[in-house]
Amino acid sequence: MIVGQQKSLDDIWRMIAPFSRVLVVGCNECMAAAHAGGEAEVAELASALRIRARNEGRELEVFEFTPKRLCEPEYVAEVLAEVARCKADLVLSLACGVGVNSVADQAADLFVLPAVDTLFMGTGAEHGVWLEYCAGCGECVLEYTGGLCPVARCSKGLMAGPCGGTRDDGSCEVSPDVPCVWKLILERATRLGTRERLLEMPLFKNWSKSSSGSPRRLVREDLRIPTEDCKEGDTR
Amino acid sequence: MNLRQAIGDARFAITVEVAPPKGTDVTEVLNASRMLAPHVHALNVTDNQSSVMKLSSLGFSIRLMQEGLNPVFQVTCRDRNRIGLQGDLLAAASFGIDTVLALTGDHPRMGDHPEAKPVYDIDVIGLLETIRMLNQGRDLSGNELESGPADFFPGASVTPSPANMDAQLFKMERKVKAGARFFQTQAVFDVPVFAEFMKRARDFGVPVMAGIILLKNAGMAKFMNANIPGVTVPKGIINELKDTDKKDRRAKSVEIGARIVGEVKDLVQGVHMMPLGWDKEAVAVLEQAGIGLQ
Repeated sequence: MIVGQQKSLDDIWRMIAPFSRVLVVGCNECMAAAHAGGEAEVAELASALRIRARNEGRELEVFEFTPKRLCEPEYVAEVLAEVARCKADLVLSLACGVGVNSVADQAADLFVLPAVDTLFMGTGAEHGVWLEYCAGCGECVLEYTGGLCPVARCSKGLMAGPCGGTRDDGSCEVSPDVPCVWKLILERATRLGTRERLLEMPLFKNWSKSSSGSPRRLVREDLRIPTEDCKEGDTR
Repeated sequence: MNLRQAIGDARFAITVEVAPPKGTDVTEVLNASRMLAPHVHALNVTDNQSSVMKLSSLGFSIRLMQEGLNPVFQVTCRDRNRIGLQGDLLAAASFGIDTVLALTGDHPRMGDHPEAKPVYDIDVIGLLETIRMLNQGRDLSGNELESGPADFFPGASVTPSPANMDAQLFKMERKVKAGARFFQTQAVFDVPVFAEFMKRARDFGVPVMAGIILLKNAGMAKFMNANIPGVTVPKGIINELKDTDKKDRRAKSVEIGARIVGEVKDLVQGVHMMPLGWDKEAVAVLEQAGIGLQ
């Protein structure tokens, strides 16, 4: 899942100052699971904004809408219909950054603002605690490391073993809350008898496949819908 | 004689660390370097040590060369990608600098620009492999160097941490296989523990220089125990410092340093002094331990 965290009410209040009809839009998948922007959080934020508007004597209409998610065109279309219905002048998104971009790309004349800081791809490890597990680097190395990712889970993203910064208790010197993933990788490889696999991992990562390259685009020709002048079976 | 020659001749190698200033005036550290030089084979020039921004390691290494002194150019992977690292290595070589200490580099979070984006495009094993490529006359993409093969003499560091010995030895072995020709260790205080480490590290057949830090007081020792991974100052040493009058602390610090050097010298092929400003005391440690240039 994508993990995010709501911005502070003060920040949100500052951002929405120029607007008077705000549609708060959530995401019922990742951001709901992250307790940052599901239906419940949309209602909560909308109430908070209404109360603050009343307390400060400001004219503000706040509407609520939570599609299944906001990262795909069909759900953005639902949001745009809702914008038209309530004559909103702003979409305040509690979806991740993908949702905000999706709205901006599809609605050239509509304001959309983020009420969430999108953080990472990860998991809810325990109630109220989320951990980053994947960096989306575009060249997965988990086959070598026994399923534990050094790119996402080592503070330095090291490819060939731990640095000297592993504390005696096995945590990372950057933060005592972070276990040294290389210590975990080595212990796991020792248990599974796969230490040799670690030596096969590419030393020089191809970062052009990661977000350090250019914005990424995935095209699956097998899934694309043929256009009129090039139908399936057409051998021209 | 420089470090490369000392190691080549299997002599007891001695290096000392010097840190470039935060600023443009290198007078003070140049004076310290001149004072230290006759006692050591080379001067390690730190690369934004502890992620604290300083005048660059390359810049000061060049200054040392111009003074006729022997630098060990410390290079971390934190601030440059593979293009920048190779460019700086070539620049160093063009000034005659061949001895390089390849390091991962502390995370920016540890230093004075904690919001900086770290690079780590390649890590230290990749850096050592890069140096190997340059020494074969090619860059990392396989393009030929117009000047032919470079002639770097690369070293690396190791943390002889008892708690994480397996992981550290794993990394050390990888550094050896990637071409490290010498090692300088993190500070050693607990000699019996270090001896255990050396029992295994010796098998790699690469010279190891024990890191020596001068403890200025008990507070510094406690701070290191709490904050520097892999460093353990035994209680006995902390008590020794605590029980010493302030006016006698420098002498006590030298005495402790010399004792550690004396105890480790038969386990290793050299020592690497990290005086953290106590340069004269570092020389005193070597003299008291009876370690001179061979």
